[in-house]
Parts: sequence; structure tokens; C-alpha cells
Amino acid sequence: MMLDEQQVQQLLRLKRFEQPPPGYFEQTLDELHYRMRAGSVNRSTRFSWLQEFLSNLNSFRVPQAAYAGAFAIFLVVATLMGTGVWSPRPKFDVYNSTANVSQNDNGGIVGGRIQLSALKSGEQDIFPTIKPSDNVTPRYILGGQPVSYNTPSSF
Amino acid sequence: MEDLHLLEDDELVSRTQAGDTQAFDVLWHKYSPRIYSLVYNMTSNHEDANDLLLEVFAKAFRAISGFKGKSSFYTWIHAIAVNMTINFVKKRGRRFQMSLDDFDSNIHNDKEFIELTASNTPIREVDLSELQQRLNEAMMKLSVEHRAVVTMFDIQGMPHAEIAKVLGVPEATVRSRLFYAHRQLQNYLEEFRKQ
Repeated sequence: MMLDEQQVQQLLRLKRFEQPPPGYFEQTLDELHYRMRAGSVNRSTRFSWLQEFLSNLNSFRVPQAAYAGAFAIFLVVATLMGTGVWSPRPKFDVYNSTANVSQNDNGGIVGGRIQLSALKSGEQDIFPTIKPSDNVTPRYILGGQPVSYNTPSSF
Repeated sequence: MEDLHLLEDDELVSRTQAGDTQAFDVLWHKYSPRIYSLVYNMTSNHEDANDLLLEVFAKAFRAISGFKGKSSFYTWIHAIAVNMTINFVKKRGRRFQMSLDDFDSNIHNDKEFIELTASNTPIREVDLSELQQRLNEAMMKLSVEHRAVVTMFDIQGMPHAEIAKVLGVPEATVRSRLFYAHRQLQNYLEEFRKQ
């Protein structure tokens, strides 16, 4: 014969008789006072708000629906990005770009990207060349001495 | 001199918020046995129950300034106890030992105990301490959420609506958890009876 639900409930109710020894709650009150005082001391310290926050964070329970919601958002974003409907970066039209290139309309390296408008004409090199000039300040410093393109006159 | 034990919970809470720690002592005397029972039946370990009981009340004392009275103090402190115990049990995982005390001697006068151990019941031959151990083992096989519901409903006699408030779930969820837990316990105890 199987135990029915009522008998199971009767058995469970017997657990009411599992009690701590007599006088337990009186004795434990002293320990509670100690913890309450310790808590007050902790609260007056500088980072008590952080401890309280971490304590609350520790006891915070994330609703199960939140996991499903986060997963659904991820799926939607992944689908939109995967199908090309939406992209976080604007599209860059290589040949019809109207971006200004300072002092070099034919291309160069701007903002870490190679401007390819020079490819269209076929007249200019893609990469700019650095030519020596006496009119400008030397660009590089080697060993603390400015580099000059002239032949040194003294040794 | 005023007897604080005669005051309602709301008044005791207000006085605690104003800094009267003796009012909080009265709340301790009033609710610590119930909270202990709740925590003990969810952990099946007296040392853990002792530590959690103190942590629950210490936390309640720290947080009582933020208690606005939207629920009763009874519901509020039960909710703290259930949340802390669920977190504790999940962190502890399967590493635990049951610590068992003898039943209170008053059990022999209990109507349900007499009925259960009567000669025509299926568990009449079961030794009392063994019965206690099997009950605790069966309880520990339930998930901690189901154990919380069984403890509050079957052992503490709380109504469904109150349990729903404590857990922050619909009443239907409480009922379905109870139904499932009772089925599970029936199966576990049946296995024991066949041994």
C-alpha cells in the first residue's frame, strides 16, 4: 500500500517537533547582540555602502524570465546583423566617397584607412612619398640630434 | 514599566527604527523559533540553521531603517530568511551533513503521531529516529525552492497566499510546487518502505 498525500503531510507535520534544546533562543540572543554591534561598527567604516551593495547583490535573485529575455534580444540582434538588415557601422562607398583628403585629393592614408580614390584615375601612387626638403624642419630626431639632409661639413 | 511584548509588530518596528534595540529583542523572541524552523528544515543542519538564523536577524536589523511597512514584518523577515537560505544552500551544493536531533518528547502526545503509528498504518513498524532520518533525506532530495514551500505550508502551516507573498511568486506557482513536492516525497518514502 502506497502512502497517500495525507499521510505524507502528516509525516511532514511531525517535523515541528524537531526543536533546538530548551533555552537556545535566550542564549543565542547574546550572539545576535554581538553581531548587531559588529554590524554597526562596520556600517560606520568608509566602505560600508560597498559592503551593503555587495551583500544585497549576493542575495539578489535574477528572475528566470531575464535569461530568456536576454537570449531573445541576442537572437534578434544576431539575425539582423546576419541578414545585413542592420549594421553597427555605416557602409563606406569606396568609389563615390566624398570624404575630404587634406592636401591630397588623389588618396593617401587618412585616419588609418587607405583612401582608394587614386585607384580610379590610375595616375598617382597610392602611398605618399616623403621627399627631402631644406625648407621644412627635419621630421626625425636621432640620438638627440636633428637629422639633416645636407652633407656634414665637419667631423 | 511598559511591557514591550504587548506591542504590535508595527510599533516594535517603529521603535527599532528609532534606535530602541529592546524592541528588536521582542521581535527576536516572537519570530526566532519560526525562522529557525524554516531555516533548519531547508538545510537539515543545526549548525547551519544557527548561523543563518543569526545572519537573518542581523541583516534585518541593518535593513530595518528601509522597511516601509508595505508587507508585514512577519512576511518581510520570512522573505529575508528564504532568500538567504536559498543562496546558502546553492553555494553549499551537495557538500553537507545532516545533523539530527531527537524529536521533542511532546511528539508522543501528538494526534498525528498517534494516528501514523497506529497498528493499522503502513509505517507502524518504523522506528521513530529512522523515520526522522528518512524524512530529512526525502526532503533533501527536493530542490531548495520546493523545500521552502513544503516547510512553510506543511510544517509551519502558512496559507498559500502568505507563501506567495514571501516568495514573490503567484499563488498558482505555490500550489504547483506543493503538488510536485508531495508527489516526489511520496515516491521517496515509498522506496524506503519497500526496503
